[in-house]
Amino acid sequence: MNIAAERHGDMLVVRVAEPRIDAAIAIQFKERMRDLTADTAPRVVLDLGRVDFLDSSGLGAIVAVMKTLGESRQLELATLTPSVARVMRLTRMETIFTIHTAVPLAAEAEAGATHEA
Amino acid sequence: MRPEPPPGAGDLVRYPDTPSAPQAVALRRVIPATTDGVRQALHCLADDLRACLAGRVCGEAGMPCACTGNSGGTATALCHLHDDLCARAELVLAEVFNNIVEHACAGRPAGGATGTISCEMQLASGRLCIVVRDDGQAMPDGDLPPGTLPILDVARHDLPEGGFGWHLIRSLTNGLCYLREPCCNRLSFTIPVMQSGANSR
Repeated sequence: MNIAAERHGDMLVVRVAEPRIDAAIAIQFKERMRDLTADTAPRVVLDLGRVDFLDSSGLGAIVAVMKTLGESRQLELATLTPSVARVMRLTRMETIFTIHTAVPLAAEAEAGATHEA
Repeated sequence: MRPEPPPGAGDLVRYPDTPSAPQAVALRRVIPATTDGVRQALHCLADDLRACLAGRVCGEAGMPCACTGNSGGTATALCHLHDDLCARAELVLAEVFNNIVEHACAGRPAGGATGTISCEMQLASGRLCIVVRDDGQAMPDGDLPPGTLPILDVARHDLPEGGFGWHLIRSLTNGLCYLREPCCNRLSFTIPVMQSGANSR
């Protein structure tokens, strides 16, 4: 599964290079994310810029990832493609996640989180 | 369900144009009810739909694009409307097919015959008409779930990981109808070619 993580200060950036997070890979995605986020970074930013398709199984997997991080760590999403953004909007899950238009690597370039309407 | 050829990645059957509805071309695929079969089929169905919208399947030179009315002898460039319709259709079909695999056709012995899904799409009059059949168990209570979204105003550890599918289906379709036929389930619905707000992102 094409997912890689890089630590940037207090943030772990996880770049998902899989084009689909769907029923076919939901379980492997959760397992891989559990391994990658064993790192204790307080913020985990999931870069979904390469993900063209997310169904409700994929959404559930992302929610599961957030839950495994525990109460004190944040899961944030970045670079949503239109299809993925649509799923987040229709399910109202965009209110649950902090969503960035780009991975917030430069603190001075993005003052805090950008919430997508 | 009438006897089908053995399901592979999905066999494309093109129905002939009818004189009264020259753009009402129907595309049909038969799909094994497995997660991998569904994933493969979604790729094929998205390609089928793009080809139909681009006028290639609909006929030879002069067949107008269902969205824009543009005609062309060769494949026309896909407009953003095509992409958005294909994305919405793919999401709806993914949710419908996944429900069939996970519920209607669940419980079959491993290594044995999988269930079968058939998907028929017909593009006409500004909407995509779809009929999905499966040979799995009937819907509990004989009817569709309401598609109410799970409550999100809960503690993080209580956030739902499922229960979104029917809401997505209902949000993106019109005329959703379920019937139990003698040995299969039949789900029909339409997807508008253009949906307001669809291109707002």
